[in-house]
Amino acid sequence: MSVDWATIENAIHAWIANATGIAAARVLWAEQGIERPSAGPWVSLRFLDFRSSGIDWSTNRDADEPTPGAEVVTTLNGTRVAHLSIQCFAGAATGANRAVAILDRAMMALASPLQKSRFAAARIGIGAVGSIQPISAPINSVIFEPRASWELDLLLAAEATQTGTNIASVGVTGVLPTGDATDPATEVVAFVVPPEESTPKVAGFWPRNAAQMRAAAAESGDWAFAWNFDNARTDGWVSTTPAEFGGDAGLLYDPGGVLYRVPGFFEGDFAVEFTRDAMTGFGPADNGLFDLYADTSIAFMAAARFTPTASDEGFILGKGVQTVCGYDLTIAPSGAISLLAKSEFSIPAVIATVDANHYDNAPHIVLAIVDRAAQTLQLFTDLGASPAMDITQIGSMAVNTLVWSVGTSFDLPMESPPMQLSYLAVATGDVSRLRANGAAAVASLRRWIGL
Amino acid sequence: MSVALTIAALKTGDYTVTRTAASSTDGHGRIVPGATSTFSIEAVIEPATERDLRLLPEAMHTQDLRLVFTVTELRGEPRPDSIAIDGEAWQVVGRPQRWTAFGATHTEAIIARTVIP
Repeated sequence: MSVDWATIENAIHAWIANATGIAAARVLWAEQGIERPSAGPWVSLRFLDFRSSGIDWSTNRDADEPTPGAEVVTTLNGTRVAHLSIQCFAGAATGANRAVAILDRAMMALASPLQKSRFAAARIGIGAVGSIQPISAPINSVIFEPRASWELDLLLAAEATQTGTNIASVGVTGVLPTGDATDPATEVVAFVVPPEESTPKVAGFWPRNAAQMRAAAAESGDWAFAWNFDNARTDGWVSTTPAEFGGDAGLLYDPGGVLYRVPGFFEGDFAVEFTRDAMTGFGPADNGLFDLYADTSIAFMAAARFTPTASDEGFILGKGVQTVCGYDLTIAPSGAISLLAKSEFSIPAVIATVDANHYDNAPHIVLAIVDRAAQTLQLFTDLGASPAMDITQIGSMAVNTLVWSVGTSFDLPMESPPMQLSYLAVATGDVSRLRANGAAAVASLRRWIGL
Repeated sequence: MSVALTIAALKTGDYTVTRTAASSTDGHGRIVPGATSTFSIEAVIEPATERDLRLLPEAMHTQDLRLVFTVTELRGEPRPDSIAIDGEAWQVVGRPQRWTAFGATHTEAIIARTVIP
């Protein structure tokens, strides 16, 4: 439905009948093949013109009672201008009931609060109001009939609704091993690849969303593995094949050396650089360096299996450093995993912790999210999520890039267990969406890895 | 011989006429059509002449007109009678003329085909 014609017609008819004092049965809509009422004044109503007063618009909302394929309700709105002609026939030639006077009573009623409320209920507004003109004429060339005509614009609301879906695609990705369809470990979580949402730092170099990451990496898989720095395995649970190495990150392999590289932000710099040994998993003997932006949102994933030993004192899983500010991803001796964000002078600092024991020899997914738009720092793992920590006090980390280090690199005394690291998103909207769906994202990542 | 007898002698057939009663309104200015009823007439129906065409209202245009002679009163505007000819509806145009002469009264009406195939 666009304009609610029945309601509008009824409201207009009631207005004319009440204001003019002419019986309702003698106020008629034209173009119905009507016969003239018996002797006495009567009124004809007719819409002469109908147009839009501007460009219509639409809004979306979640359906109150969604059904498959109809989860979203789209409302279309617009304003319309209807030009109404009102003609009074057979009024008196003089006095209070002359045709012009009858229509003038309708004009006067427009100022009535009661009439205004009736029009408001019918979603009718008053636009340009024309003059009342006498148009008296003879009938059958022998009878002179006093008549008057009045035209005015009415502003009407047009509205229509339709249902739609926000499911981009549905696919079968596996067979449930058991009858438990709600098992989160096997649950398939659908994500929508978001559109480009942010301005790239340097076009052509630094991907700004999952699609660009995937394109840069020539990755044929899902966005969740947008840009793997390492697709290695050392303990059998992260899949690896030579083909995956070659197609994984679009890496530039220096055949004469031992480094894999991806161009980075600065001339001659590399966003990714790590040793060939690291291809089999970052560990104490390997290292990798990645450029990170500290002043923008970023989401990345670490995947590792933490094996408890008597000497475990915790690891620095990765460290992004620029002078003294940056991020530290650590696992504590208790098995709690934390992401620390430090300001330019290290104080203040904010830490987000998933306080669960990850030293259980089971593979874990760690989703680290720095959402600069929402000013939150948050961690998600398959064992839980940290609170969303406010990093407003960190302020703008006035640096261009950090170098994210994994393994023994730089001059940092740190160790990392064999692990896999991936950029998931750097676009503001992507990061925000991942944070809002953190638990589901972890489940999806585990699914893709095959856990 | 009266015109009535002439019509009876020269009739082209018996025809069914549909008549619509006066309409009412729904209280909001919309017409509620009146009920319809039917009756049969004897009539002479022949092509309209050029003179008949000149009697049509201003701007009246139709592709098929005929002239009806019957002793039964027919009604025109605003609720014109409809006459079925070979299964097709023909509607009275304007106001039929009613003549009384030679001891009888008859009706002359122009009818127009309502649906042109």
